Formats: sequence, C-alpha cells, structure tokens
Amino acid sequence: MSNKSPVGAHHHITPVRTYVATLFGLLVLMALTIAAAKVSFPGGTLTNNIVAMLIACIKATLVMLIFMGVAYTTKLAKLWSVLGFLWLTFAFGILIDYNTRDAIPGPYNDPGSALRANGARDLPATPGDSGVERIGKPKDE
Amino acid sequence: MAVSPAHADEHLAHGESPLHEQYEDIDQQNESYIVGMWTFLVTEVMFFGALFVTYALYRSKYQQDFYVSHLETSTFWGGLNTVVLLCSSFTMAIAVRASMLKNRTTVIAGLVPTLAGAVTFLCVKYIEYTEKFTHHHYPGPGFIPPSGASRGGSQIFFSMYFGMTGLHGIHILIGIIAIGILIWLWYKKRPIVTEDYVPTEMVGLYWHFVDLVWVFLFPLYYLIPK
Repeated sequence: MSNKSPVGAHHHITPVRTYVATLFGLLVLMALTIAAAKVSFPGGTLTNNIVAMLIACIKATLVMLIFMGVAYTTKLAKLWSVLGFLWLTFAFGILIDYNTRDAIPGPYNDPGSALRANGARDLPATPGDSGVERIGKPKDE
Repeated sequence: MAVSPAHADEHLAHGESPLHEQYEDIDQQNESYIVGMWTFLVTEVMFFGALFVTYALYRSKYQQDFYVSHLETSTFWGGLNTVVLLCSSFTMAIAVRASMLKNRTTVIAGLVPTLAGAVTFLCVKYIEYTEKFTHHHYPGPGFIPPSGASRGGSQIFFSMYFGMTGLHGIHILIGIIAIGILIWLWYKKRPIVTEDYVPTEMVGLYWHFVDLVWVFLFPLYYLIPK
C-alpha cells in the first residue's frame, strides 16, 4: 500500500469468471426459491418462510460480497456494510414477543378501552394519560 | 503527506488527478467515498427495513388473506424481473471492473445493457400494475378483494404491495437517471469518470442495492406459502 501513484492502481480487480459464477449461482438460487415455494415442508408455513428467507439471505450475501465488492474492500467499509443489517436485526428483535402481546389485558394494547373500563366514556384524552398507568389501579377508584 | 498543497494545486489546475487536497493519498480518498456511499445505503436499509418489519407484522396477522391475495401476482413476471435485475447487476459489475481498468468501451458495453435491464424492469412492472388496476386490486373505495380473501386483510396486502414495489420502482427510476448520466459522461470522455473509477463504483453500489431489495421482495410478494 506504499504506492504513491495518484491514480491509485491498487484496488482489487475481480476476475470476470468470478462474476459469471456469481450470476450463475444467483440464478440457480432464484430457481430454487420458486421450486421451494411449491413444496410444502414439514412444519408448514413457518418452515417455508425460513427456507425462502434463508435463500434470499444467501443471495443478498453473494451480491454484497462479490458484486458490491465487500469481500475485497477496506475494514471500515466492511463495518459500514453490515451496520444497516445489524439495525434491521434489532428492528425485528423488538417483535419477538409480538404473539404474546394479546395475552396482556386490553388497556395495554388500547388506551381507549382502559378509559371505558373505568366508566369514563367521554373522557377527553389528556397528555400522559395513556391508560398504561391505569392498569395497576383498582377499577372502582 | 503524499501530496504537498502546492502539488495538489497543480493537480487541480491541470484537472488531471482525481485526488483532492484534503486527502493524504488516493486510497484514503477512495475509502472515504465508498464509506460515504455505504452510509447512504445504511439509511436505505433502515428505510426499507421499517417496511419489511411492517410487512412481517401484517403477514403474521393476515397470513390467509396474504396467501389468497398473492395468487393475483404473477410468478412469471416476478421471476422475469428477478432474472432481469440479477443480469443487470452482473453487467454493472463488469462495467465497474472495466472502469478500474480504464477500459472505456467495456464500461459502456456494460452500462448500456444495465440501463436496458432497468427499463425492462419498469415495463414489466407497468404490465403488472395495469393488471391489478383492471381487477380493482388497488386499495380504496373501489377495491374488490380476490375471491376467498377478506376485504381488510387483502387491502393491507395490496397497500403494502404497491407501497414497497412502488418505492422500489422509484429507486429503479433514479437508477435509470444515474446510469444514463454515467453513460453520457463516459461517452463524452469526461475526466470525472475516466480518471477516477469511484463515481462508476458508487452508481454500481446503488444499483446492486436495488437488486438486493428485490431479492427479498420477490419471495415475500410472489411466493407466499399457504
């Protein structure tokens, strides 16, 4: 990296056959997704979804590593290339309890129902009164 | 310091070197540009990511409606568009490679089919959207749900379908403009592209990202399991 040439001739040149192989791999994976969608895997919809997303993730990784050159870029650029997807993991992470949220009594999901439960039908919404605080309070206050 | 200020001025005066004075050397400059582009792409991931999260929520809630509604999308057109985008990503990669090697003919030979792929994609999208509209599968008062799907769940599906593929389509449109300008610059032998591969690389990164989004959109809207 001590080459001082202002034109900078030392970036990685990927062989054309690597790109051709990547394209071929991507097309095969696409055919695989379409085929997998027609099969009913054991475990039902969930397994089908996992298979479809797994193939999509492999395709995305191929595109990023080879076509976008992440495999050959600097460490800093590599870090930035994964940051967005890290955020996406967190975004999906906050949904892990989604299916259990219905088990929590109504007011938690719907502040309006908390007000009705307390008998205040036409109570205007006040700032800070989200209904969440009302959960612990006895009904006939 | 690889380049003294006087040296840098000289470069700027002649318009020969792409190296700007605030950088130590071309490697540092290139890295800054690429990291900057990735920063933009991170915001794009967050932008589309929020929509994917929304999709996941509604899909888990209205799986049956999503399944029935997705039968209205065509795997053929969706698959064709996937092939078109993957191939255009490939030709873009070839063009970026050629720009590093300063091979102008190959750059243009790579960019033109990329542009053609982008236009083809939008044409196919036009055919698909027209079909949805003639069947009244667009959300609103005139909405007619596909038989077997509830009105609410099906409208959510088509709202998200038009929202996400539409947003992706706008990205394709921006890509067409960017690639078009790039071809013109290469054709005119402008030093901004011929002396520095980074502008070509940045348009390339953008285009691959658009391809990346479609890789996820395709199974989520065209191949929903029962």
